[in-house]
Amino acid sequence: MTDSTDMRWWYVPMEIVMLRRWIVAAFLVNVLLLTVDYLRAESDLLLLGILSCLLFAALRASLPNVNDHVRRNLSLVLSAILLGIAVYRLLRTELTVFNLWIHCWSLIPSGLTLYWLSGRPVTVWTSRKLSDTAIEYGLMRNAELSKTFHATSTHITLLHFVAITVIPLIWIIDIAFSEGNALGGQIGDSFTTEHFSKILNGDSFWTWLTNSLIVSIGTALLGLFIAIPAGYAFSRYKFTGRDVSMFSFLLVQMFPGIIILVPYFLVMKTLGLLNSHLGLILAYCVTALPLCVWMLKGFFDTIPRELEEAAALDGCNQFQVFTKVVLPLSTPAIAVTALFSFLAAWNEFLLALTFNTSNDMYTLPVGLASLISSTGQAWGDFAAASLLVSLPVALLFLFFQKFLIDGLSAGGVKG
Amino acid sequence: MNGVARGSSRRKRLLAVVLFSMIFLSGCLGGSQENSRQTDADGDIVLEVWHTFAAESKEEQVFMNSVSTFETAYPNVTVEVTMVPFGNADQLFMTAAQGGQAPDLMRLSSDQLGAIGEVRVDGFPLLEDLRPHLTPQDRAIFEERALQAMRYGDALYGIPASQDCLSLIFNKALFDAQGLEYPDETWTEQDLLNAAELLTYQDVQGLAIPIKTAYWWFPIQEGFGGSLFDDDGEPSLDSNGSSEAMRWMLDLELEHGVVATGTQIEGMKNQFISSKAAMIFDGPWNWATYEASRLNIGQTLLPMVESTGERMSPLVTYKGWTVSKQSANKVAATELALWLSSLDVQKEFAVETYTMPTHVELESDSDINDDAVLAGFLEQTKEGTPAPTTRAMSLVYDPLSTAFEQAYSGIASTEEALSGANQQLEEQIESISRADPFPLAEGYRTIAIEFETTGATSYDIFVDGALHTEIRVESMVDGSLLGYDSCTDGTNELLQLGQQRIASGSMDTIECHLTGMIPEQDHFIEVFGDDVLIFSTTQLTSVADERPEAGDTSPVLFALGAIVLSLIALLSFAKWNDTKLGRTKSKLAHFYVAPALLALAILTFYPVLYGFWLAFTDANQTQLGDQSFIGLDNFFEVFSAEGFLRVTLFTLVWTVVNVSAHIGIGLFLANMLHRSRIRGKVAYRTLLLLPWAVPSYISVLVWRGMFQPDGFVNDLLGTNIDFLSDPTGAQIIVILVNIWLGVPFMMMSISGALQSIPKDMYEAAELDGVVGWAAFRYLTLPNLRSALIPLTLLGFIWTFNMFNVIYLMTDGGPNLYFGQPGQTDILITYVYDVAFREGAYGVAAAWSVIIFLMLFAFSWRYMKQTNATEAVA
Repeated sequence: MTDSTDMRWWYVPMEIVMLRRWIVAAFLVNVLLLTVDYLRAESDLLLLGILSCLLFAALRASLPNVNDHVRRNLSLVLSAILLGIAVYRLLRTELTVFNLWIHCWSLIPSGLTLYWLSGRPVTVWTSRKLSDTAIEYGLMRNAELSKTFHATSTHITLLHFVAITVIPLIWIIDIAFSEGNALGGQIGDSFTTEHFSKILNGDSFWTWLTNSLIVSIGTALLGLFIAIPAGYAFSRYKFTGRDVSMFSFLLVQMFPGIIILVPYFLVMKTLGLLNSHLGLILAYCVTALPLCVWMLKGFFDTIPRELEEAAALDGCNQFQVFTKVVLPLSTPAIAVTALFSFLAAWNEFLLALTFNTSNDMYTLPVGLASLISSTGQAWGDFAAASLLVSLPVALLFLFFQKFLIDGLSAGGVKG
Repeated sequence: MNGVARGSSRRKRLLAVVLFSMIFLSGCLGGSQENSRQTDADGDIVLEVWHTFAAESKEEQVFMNSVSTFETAYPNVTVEVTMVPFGNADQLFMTAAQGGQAPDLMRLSSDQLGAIGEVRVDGFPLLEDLRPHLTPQDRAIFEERALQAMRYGDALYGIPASQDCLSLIFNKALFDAQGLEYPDETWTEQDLLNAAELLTYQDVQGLAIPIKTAYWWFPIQEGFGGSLFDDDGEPSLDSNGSSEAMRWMLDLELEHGVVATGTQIEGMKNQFISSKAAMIFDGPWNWATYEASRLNIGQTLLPMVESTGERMSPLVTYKGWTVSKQSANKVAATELALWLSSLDVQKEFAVETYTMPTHVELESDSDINDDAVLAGFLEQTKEGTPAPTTRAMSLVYDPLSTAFEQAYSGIASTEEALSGANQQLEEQIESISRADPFPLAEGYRTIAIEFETTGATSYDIFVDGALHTEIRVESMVDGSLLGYDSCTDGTNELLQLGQQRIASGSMDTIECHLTGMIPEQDHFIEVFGDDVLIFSTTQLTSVADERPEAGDTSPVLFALGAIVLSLIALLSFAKWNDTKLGRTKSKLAHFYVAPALLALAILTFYPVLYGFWLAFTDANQTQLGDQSFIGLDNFFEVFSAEGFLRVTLFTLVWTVVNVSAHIGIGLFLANMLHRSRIRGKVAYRTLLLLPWAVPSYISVLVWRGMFQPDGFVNDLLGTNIDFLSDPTGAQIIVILVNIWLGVPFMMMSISGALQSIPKDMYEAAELDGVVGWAAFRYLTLPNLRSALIPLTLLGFIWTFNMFNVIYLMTDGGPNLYFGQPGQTDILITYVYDVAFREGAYGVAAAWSVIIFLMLFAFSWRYMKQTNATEAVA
C-alpha cells in the first residue's frame, strides 16, 4: 500500500493500452492503402489520405498518460478531425464493399478513439488522482477486457490474412461452377456442375488420382524412412564427413533442374525406373530429402539428450531409445516433413511428365495440364479438376493439425 | 566385446552393399527390357503415338475413333496412344529422343517443325524424312501448300492433317442493337474501324484483339503491304507497310479506344464470350466455345486495306503427323500417319470439331460446303499466307514482342522498333548454330526403273496394279521442280505440273525412282505407253532403314556404379577414421546416413556432374549427344551478356524480399495461432494453408487473370490499369504472388517447430513478467533457431531457382530491350530461354554453373556463420 503513486503510474486502462497498438496498425494499413488512391490517380483524395496518415501518427504520439487531460483533449480533437476526413472520403467514393472496407480503417480507429477517450474510465484516469480501490478495480477490469480485446484483434488480423489467401481461390471455385470455359466473368453469374461431372465421369481422372495417391503416399513413407535415421545421426553424433554430407544434400537443389532433365531421364532409364511408380517415388524422395533431413535434425536437436540417457540407463538399447523416446516426442516435426514430402509429390509436374510417358501412369498435375490444348483452354474443366485435386489436401491439413496441437505438450518434456 | 561389435557392423555393411547391388542389377535388367517395345508377344507391330488433343475433348474422341478403325483395318498393328500436354510436347519429344524413347508417331505443327527441323541427336534428325515413304499418289491428295509447310529444307517431315488461321468473327446481337450491317468480305479496314467505333459504348468494345501479339499482327502487316521475309527469305520487318500496320493496330487501343486496354489472348476470348466485344479476330478452334456460350455469331473474311487494295492475310499454320527417326516400324507408322490424314478422318474432324482440312477433295465436298461456317473458314485459309517452315520463322516472335512493347510504351516509334527487331532477328539468324541437311539413304523404300520410250504421249507407271507415276509428253514446259522423288529423261529431272510429270518429248529412255516401296517385298511394276504395256519387271529393294542406335546406357551405368562405389568407399573410410579416433558412440552414424546419401547420389550426382561438363562444351540443339570440349568460352559469353548484372540484381531482390516475407509472415501467423486462445484456430489454419493445397499452376494463372485490366483487382479499384505491362508493376506483382504462394509452407513448418517449445517455459516466463514481444524475442526466437536456419537456407535456394511463378505470370516480360532478359526475368527463367528458345545448351549450362556457384558461396557462408550443422543441445 505504500507504493500507491507507483501503482498509479503502473495502471493504465485497457482502452489506452489497446489504442496504443491499434493506432499503429491503423497507421500502417492507411499508409499501404495510399497506393489505392495513387493507382486511382485521384490526387485530392491522395492528399487527404496522406493527411490522415500524419494525423494517425500525431494521434499515436498524443495519446494521454495518467493525469494528462491536455493530451487527452488534443487526442479527442485529432480523432474528431480524422473521423471527419474519413466520413468525407467515404462520401466522395462510390459505395462498394471494398471502399467501405478501406474507409473502415480510418472510421473505426478514429471513432473508437473518440468513444474510449471520452468514456468514463479514461476520463477519470486522466483527470484526477485515483484511489487505491479504484486502481484495483481498474486492474480487475483490465484483466477481463484484455481477453476480449486480444481475441478481437487476433480475429481481425487473421480475417485479413484469410481474405487475401482465399480471394484467388474463390475465383477458382467460381470458374469451376460457371458455365462455359472462360477465365473471368463476374462472381456468381451462373451455376453449373457440368465441369465436375465431365471430369468425374471420365476414366482418366480416377487413374490420375490413383497414381498420385500411390506416388505421394509412397514418397511420404519412404522419405521419412530414410530421412529420420539420417536426421537423427546428424543431430546426435559427431563423425567424419558429417558437415560435408549435410551440405551435399543442399548441393543438388542449387543446380537448375530444367537444365539437367535429360541426364536425369537417362539415369532413370538406366535404372529401369521410367514409367513406374517407384521411379517417381525415389525421385521425389530425393527432392524432399534436404528439407526433411535438415528439419528433422533441427527438431531432434531440441530434444534433451538427458531423456535418452535416462532411457539407456533403464536398459533400453539404442533402437528402443529411438523408437520409445525420440520418435514420440518428434511427432510434430515428422508430421510436417511427411506433409511436405506428400505435397512435393502431389503437386510436382515436370519430372512426372518427363519420366512417365504413358497415360496410365500420369499423375494429377500432368493430367490437369493435358486438359489444356493448343486451341481451346477449357478453364472450367481445369478449375473443377484443380478443386478436386485440392480437396484431399485440404482434408489432410485438417487431419494433420491434430499432430500439431497434440505434439510435445502431450509428450511432456520435463528435463 | 569390441571385436564382436566390429564384426557385426562389418556384416551389416556387407549386407547393405549386397542388397544395393541387387536392387541395382534388377534395375539394369528392367532397363534393357524397356528398349525392345517395337513388337509385342505375337510378333505384331506396336506403334506408339503421341497427340496433344486436350483430355476429354471432342478432338480426342474423333482421334481415338480413327485409331480404332485403323486397328481394325490392320489387325497386326497395335496402337498405343499417349496424350501429351500441349505446352510441353516438343520439349518432351526431344528429351525422349535423347534417351532413345521417342514415340513412333507424333502430331506437330508446322511452326514447331521450324525449330525441331534443326535438332540433331547423335547426328540424326528427330524426324524421318517421309519423301521415300510416299508415292506420288499418296501425296496427291494434299494441298500443295500444306505439304510444302511440312517440309523443312528439302526434307518432308510430316503429313499435313489440318490447317488453321485467324478470321473475323462477330456478335450479331451487338450489331443488331446498334442497327449496323453485319461485316462482309467487301469491308475495308476503315469500315472495320468505323463500325468498331460505333459499337464501342458503355462496357462494350468494338473489337477484341490482343494488340501486342505478333500472330494477330501478321494479317494486318500483309494487308498493309509488309511481309515477314523477302523473296530470298531474309527478314524484312522494317518495311513501311509493316510499321504502318503496327501503328494502325496499336492505335486501335491507344488512339481510337475500340480495343480494351491491355487485351491479351485470354482476355480477348472472355470479352467476346461475355458479349463485351462485338468483333474478334479469332480462329475456327474457338467457334464451338462461342456457340456453347449461346452467342449468335457470324464469320467473314478479314477486311481489305484501302490504301494497298490487299486483303489482310492471316498466317496459316498446319498440323501434321510426323514419324520419328528412331521408329523401328516406319512403314507401319507412315501408313498410320496417312490414315490419320485421310479423307474420312479429316472430314470427321472438320464436321465435328471445326478443324480445317488439307485434303484437296474436301474443298469441293458438299457436306463441308453446305456448312456456311466451315466453308467460310476454309475460304479464309485460302486468303491466308502459309507460315514459312524455317528456323527464322521460329525466331521471329521474340524480337517482335520486344518491338511491340517498345512501340506501345512509347520508348521507340514503330519504325525504330521494327528496324530494331529486324536487326536483332538478323543477328540471331547469323549466330544460331545450323545442322547440315541429313542425306537420304539411297534406295530405301525406292526402286529405280529405266524404260525406253515409244513415242507415246503419256506413260503411266503401275506398281502392283495401282497407278504410281504419270508422265505426260508435252512441248510446252511450265511445271516446277518439287523434289519429292526423281524421274529423269536421262539427263534432266522431269518437271512437275499438278500431279503429272512433264517430258519435253525428245528422250530415248526415262528413269524413275519409285518411292513408297516396301523393303524386302517383290513389287510388280508395269509401264503403259498410251495404255499399251511397254515394260514390266518385278523388283525388290533390300536397303534397310537407317536409324539411330537405341540409346546406349552403359556409360551412365558405369558412371552410376563409380559414384556408388566411391561413396561407399568414402563412408567406409570415414567410419574407419572415426574408429581410429575412438568415437565409439557414433559407430552406427554412417549406417544411418547411408541410405539417404546413396539415394541422393544415385539419382542426382550424375545429372549435376553432366550439367557441369555441359558448361564447358559447345552443346547446342544441332549436336545433342556429340558435343565437344571448348573450355571457358561459354562463361565469357555469359559475363559479356547484356543485362547480366540487371538480372542478377533482380534475382537477389526477388529472393531476399520473398524469403524475408515468407519467414516474417509465416512466423507472425504461426506464432499468433500458437499463442492465442481463440475459437476457430483449426479453421483459420486450414484456410491459411490452402494456397499450398491448390496446384500452383492454376493459382498463378488466376492471379494473372486478376491483375489484367478487366480483372478483379481493377474492378475493386475501379480502374483500368495494365499492371503487368509496367516494368515496376510487374516486378512488384510477381513478388507478391510468390509471397502468397510461399507463406503457407513456412507457416506450417514453423508451427511444427513451435510445438517443441515446452509450454511450461512460457508459464515460467509469464510469472517473471516476460510476455508479448519480450517473450517472442527471448523465448520463441532462440528456440526456433534450429528450425529457422535450414528453412531460411532452403527457402533462399528454392526461391532463387523458382521458375513457375515468373514463367506463368509474365514469362519474364515486359521485354523492353532486344537481345536482353526481360524486366521480370530472374536467372533461372533466363537460363530456360537460352536453353530452349535458342537451343544453346552449353551456354545455358554455364549460366547454371554460375547460379550454382552463387548459391554455393551463399550457403556455405551462411552455414558456417550460423553453425547450422552443429547440434544446439
